[in-house]
Amino acid sequence: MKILIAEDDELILRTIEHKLKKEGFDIILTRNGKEAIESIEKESVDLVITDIMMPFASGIEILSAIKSLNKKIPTIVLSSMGQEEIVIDAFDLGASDFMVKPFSPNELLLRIKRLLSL
Amino acid sequence: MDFLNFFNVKQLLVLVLLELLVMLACLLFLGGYSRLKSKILLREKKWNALINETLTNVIITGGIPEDCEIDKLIDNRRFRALFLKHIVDAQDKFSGSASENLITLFRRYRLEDTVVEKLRSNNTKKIALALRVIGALKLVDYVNNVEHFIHSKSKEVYSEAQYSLVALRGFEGLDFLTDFKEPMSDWQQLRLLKEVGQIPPEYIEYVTRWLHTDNVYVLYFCFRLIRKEQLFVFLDKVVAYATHPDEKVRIQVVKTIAAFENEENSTRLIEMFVGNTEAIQFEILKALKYLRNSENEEFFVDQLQNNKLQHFKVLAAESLVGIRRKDRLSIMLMEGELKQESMDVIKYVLKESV
Repeated sequence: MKILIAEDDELILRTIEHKLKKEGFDIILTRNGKEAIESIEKESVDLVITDIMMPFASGIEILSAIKSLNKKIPTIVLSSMGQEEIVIDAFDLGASDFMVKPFSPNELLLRIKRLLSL
Repeated sequence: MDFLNFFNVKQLLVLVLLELLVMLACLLFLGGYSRLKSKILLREKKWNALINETLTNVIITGGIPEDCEIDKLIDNRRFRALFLKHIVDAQDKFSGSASENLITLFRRYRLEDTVVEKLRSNNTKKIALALRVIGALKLVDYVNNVEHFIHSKSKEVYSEAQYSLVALRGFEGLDFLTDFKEPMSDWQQLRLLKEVGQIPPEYIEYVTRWLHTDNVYVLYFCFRLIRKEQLFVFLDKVVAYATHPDEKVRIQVVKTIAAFENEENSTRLIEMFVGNTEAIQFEILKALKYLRNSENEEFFVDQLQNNKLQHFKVLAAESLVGIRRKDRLSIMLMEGELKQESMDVIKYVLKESV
């Protein structure tokens, strides 16, 4: 199964990649919203994990893009404290779940498995 | 005359030579400095990559390999400082076993020694970092060291001391709010809120005291705390601030009213709307949108039809979509009795909501 991670923080990006590769997932890494949207347009992705604030395009814009492409891709949003209203907007645009930083990679994995019915 | 000319030429030559020498020295210095700077940047890039790789492994597996490259670099002062900063930054990103693994890494390399050294320095940046580390890694043994810095003249230092105290003591660490007279950024307030933890039984006494402060930043924080911990007992006290002269206080009142699920909050918010400033009215409309109370339908329709400001109209139309009244918008569009701005807004919102 293929998971796309959209995150501009290198440590978070690499940690999630490492965790998910250990579990056998194929990973697409993107470091900004524009890259993420381009990858979602080109490739078949089973789940998206996205930060909210990123260069070029935000997590909200990624969700809008997924919606406009009519793709049904479960999405987990990573937010910081104080972004509650943006998270609500994300759910309005079809986000499936969210986690607030600091987050547990183990818990993220559980939520991914639940969303992918694994 | 020739004799004089000769001396002038000689002086000129000496001057030119001196100037050339100075220029050469500058070039050599700049060249050397540039090379040194590149070397340092390259070294830091290498170190950052090494640290990130190590932290990723530690966060996921908890294991620190023997004979790690870090073992060879750890005695380098600059490396230790960079390593420490990365560990503390990582603590802000990860929780659970990942966080515990980072603390294990911190102890394995005896980085407490670096923390103590920074705490004892005269450099405010070093002291602030040390305080941040103590809070982020919950180094409870150093709590008494932290208290000393709560009244520091340096904003950077006292902010980190505040954070550390709350990180180590939870709610009790907020006691400094009683006498706190300085501004406090939104970011600092959120950091403190994150660390508050369990609310003790005597919280009413503390929060009541803080609500009587003259410092509006303490007020903002109190409202955030009341929202986050759902301290319903304070709702009436919060509503009493609805006419506070500070606009940001009134915004916090709106957010706090909206945060409590009860039958009266829509009514309270609409009452506040009348005659208030544009900024407050917009916050109220936003709050009503998120409340999704179908009883507010006529209020939304009124804003869409009669408010002159486009962003209000958009929000009102989105609120109608939120309470599943897209049909009402379609009817309004079909009837065609609205002003063109309102019709355009409805078309836009209906298109976006597909």
